[in-house]
Amino acid sequence: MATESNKITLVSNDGAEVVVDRNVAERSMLIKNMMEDLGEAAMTQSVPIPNVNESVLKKVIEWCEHHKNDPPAAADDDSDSRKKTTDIEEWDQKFMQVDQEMLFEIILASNYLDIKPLLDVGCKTVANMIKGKSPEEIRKTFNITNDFTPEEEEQIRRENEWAEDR
Amino acid sequence: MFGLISLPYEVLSNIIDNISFDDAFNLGRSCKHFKYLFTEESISKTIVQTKVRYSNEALAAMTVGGGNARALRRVAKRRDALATANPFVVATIGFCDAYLYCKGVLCYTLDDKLRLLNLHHSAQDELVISIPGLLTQALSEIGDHSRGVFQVLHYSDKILSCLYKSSGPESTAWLIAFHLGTRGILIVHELESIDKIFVRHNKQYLYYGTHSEIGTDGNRKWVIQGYDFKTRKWFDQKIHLPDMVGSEIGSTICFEFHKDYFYALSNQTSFEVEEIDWTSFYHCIRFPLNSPCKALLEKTENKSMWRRQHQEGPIDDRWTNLRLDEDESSGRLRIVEARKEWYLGSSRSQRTYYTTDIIFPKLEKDDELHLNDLPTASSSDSNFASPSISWAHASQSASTSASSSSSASTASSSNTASTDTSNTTASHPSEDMDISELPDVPLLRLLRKDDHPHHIKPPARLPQNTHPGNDGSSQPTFTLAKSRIRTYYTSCSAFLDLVDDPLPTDWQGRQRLRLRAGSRSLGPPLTYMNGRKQGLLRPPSSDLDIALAEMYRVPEIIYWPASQNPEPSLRNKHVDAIYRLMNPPSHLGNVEGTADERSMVYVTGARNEPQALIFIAFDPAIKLAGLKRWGGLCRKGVGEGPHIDGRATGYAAEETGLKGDTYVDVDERDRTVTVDRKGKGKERVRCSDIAVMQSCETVDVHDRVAFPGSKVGVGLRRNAWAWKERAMYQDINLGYYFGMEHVG
Repeated sequence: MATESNKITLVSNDGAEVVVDRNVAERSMLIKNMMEDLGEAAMTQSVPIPNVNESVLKKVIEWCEHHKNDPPAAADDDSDSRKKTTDIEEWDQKFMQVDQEMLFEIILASNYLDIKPLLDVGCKTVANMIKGKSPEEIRKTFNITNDFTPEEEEQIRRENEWAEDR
Repeated sequence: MFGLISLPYEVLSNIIDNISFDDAFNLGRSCKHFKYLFTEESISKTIVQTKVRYSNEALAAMTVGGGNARALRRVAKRRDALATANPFVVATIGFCDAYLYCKGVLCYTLDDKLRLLNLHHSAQDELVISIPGLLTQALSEIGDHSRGVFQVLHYSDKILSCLYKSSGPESTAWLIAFHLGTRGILIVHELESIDKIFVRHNKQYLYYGTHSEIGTDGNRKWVIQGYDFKTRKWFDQKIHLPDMVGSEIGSTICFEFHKDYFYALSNQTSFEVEEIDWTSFYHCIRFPLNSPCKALLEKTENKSMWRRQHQEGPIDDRWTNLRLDEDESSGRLRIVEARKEWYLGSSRSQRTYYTTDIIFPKLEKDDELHLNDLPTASSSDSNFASPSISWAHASQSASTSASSSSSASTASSSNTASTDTSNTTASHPSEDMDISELPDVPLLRLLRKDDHPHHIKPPARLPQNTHPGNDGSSQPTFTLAKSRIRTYYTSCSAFLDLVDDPLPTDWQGRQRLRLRAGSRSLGPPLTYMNGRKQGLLRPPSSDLDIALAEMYRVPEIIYWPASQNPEPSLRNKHVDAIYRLMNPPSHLGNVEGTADERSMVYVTGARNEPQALIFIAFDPAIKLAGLKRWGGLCRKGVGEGPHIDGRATGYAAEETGLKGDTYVDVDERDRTVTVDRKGKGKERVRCSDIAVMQSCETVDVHDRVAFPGSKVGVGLRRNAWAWKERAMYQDINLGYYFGMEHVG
């Protein structure tokens, strides 16, 4: 059913053109809104995505492709659903098995493109990398330099919290 | 190029939503960039008000409308201090004949005075109440209160309830409740019984219960009555709990207020000893505080309140501790029970803390609907031996004769039945009871007509609800007599005990109290190690022991204070000072204590004279006036002081450069209380013999210099039975602060 008119062309910040089904691209609320604003004109000209490079854009589109038939996300009324970080579907978990730089780029891209479900999957993946770890293990995982002195570290654990007004 | 640090605020906030409170704090500790997680108000607010919103800290921040960052740090430091047995304050609070530590307020009696000190709020003054004065005020019709027994029962919301029992042949007991702010007497109620009396109240309702009703089966039952402070009336209906077995509050039964409901919980099923039985359940009831009546009384059902199979092994009941605990994150009330068990034939007993959710049946009385709610109606039916489902064994014949398919509905209707046991009417079990639902074991043949076995197939024990104590074979074990306070903190999954651990070299075995903490923390999520799913998340093993081992990290047991060098001359004097504080040489023995979510209080000393009251706080916000910073902390240096590691031996490093702040036995100040109380002991009047004239007390008040003339002065003449006084601990001046000074 995909006719030419259902395709749009996205251009990454490094100049690569990616042709994609409109319904796939519209997983991005940014693109969806843009399409609605531009109307028919959008179908004929390419859409620049200035914050995302080609490899990340392709990866994001791969995700959108796989999830194009997902029902629209229900309003997040059940706060419990978000907390269940272990509930990442297997395909998404595999999709997120990328190096950290790519992981964070996907997160930033999904944030920029406003793809909430992808952003949530990314954030849950990062959350799972933080969970249950000591500060030192967190540093190791994310290659963070400890810029606290030992005294400052002890201060964080043991400094009094007396109210000033006493 | 990109990393965790480069994520924008809103994305990090999304990540924070998905991690626990402790994870968020650990992330904040990883580097300065993330420090804002516990210093910046708005993100702290999100963390505190979603992840620990029912903690006192979060509730206080909510009330004030700010201070969430501080609340976050307080919760984190408190949990850390508890889990590592590393308190912020240890102090001698006073001397007492008896005490009650309730909702952060210490109520203690000394001679003929009752003193109330708000320790959670670091109060510098205490309210002093002349017991004879109070009694005169409350019981004006009774002329002579000179002899009798006075006992504090409960404190909450500035209201204190107490019991006074006059002596003599026609002894009468009264329940007295009064407001500390207005000094108004709220209740004076003559009691028919004081058997195992307990009181719970909040600012609007008061309930008391006694174990005094004799049931038709000849057993004692609980009866509860409520009072509404607003309408100043007792509720018409008394609540009888004929099915609530268990008489020892804190080990077999407990009572608590929670969110407008009165809860009672028992871990006992039958008044009789069942010779043949398989399963044990919790039994919980609740009713609304504003409307105590049978119609609104809810009861749990056995099928959702499984406790244990007897097969799991015998229990050393002396260690059993039962309480209701509110979860700091969800605000839900849960059962927390400690049991020391010889688990599955083990040769040594182990203490385990079990957490259980309380599930009440849906309020709809529609039995059809109810049965449909069950996951698999037929299989669940087969899980039940029919008599077990009825609450206690009421209406035995009704439920036993019921067909198995309707047993659940029969049970709910028999819930409200009274206690008429029908042992006499029951015929032989093989005719009456469907024994096919009981396990097919030879034991079954011994089943007789008056046996009431309970059996369901045990549901799986979940690792998150099971915390076995870390008392592995390499650790010294402490007998019950040496474990003076035993407590468990659900918020940080920590056992914290106050144990008497005499120096091994001390042939006298002199009291040496120490804290002993064993905790666990949830590790990273589990993933498949290899195969097609390598790196993907996986559920924990269905085997409990394997699941516990793979899910949790269990640090070594920590003792505090640090161990002492057996050779006195080589000892660290600062550590010795803590030992002397926790074990005042003049007040040893008979240690009893009470712990709450941020502190503990215990008494120590001979029974025939006032005991020393020692306070240990794990809350970094508690600041008792005049406390000295512990000398052992003065050392400038790296990381954790030796006090943190229970086995630390770095005495030499500490010995140097610490001459400044030495332990000095402080002389008595302007008051009569001394460490060894030589003088005071003589003046003292026996507690049971309250003979001090009220006029003396009034004079005393006027003479008091430190007495702030303001508030109390107004009602001085009328309310001379209560006044404010500088807290006793300020005069005793024995205590240390173990936290660090605030910088910047």
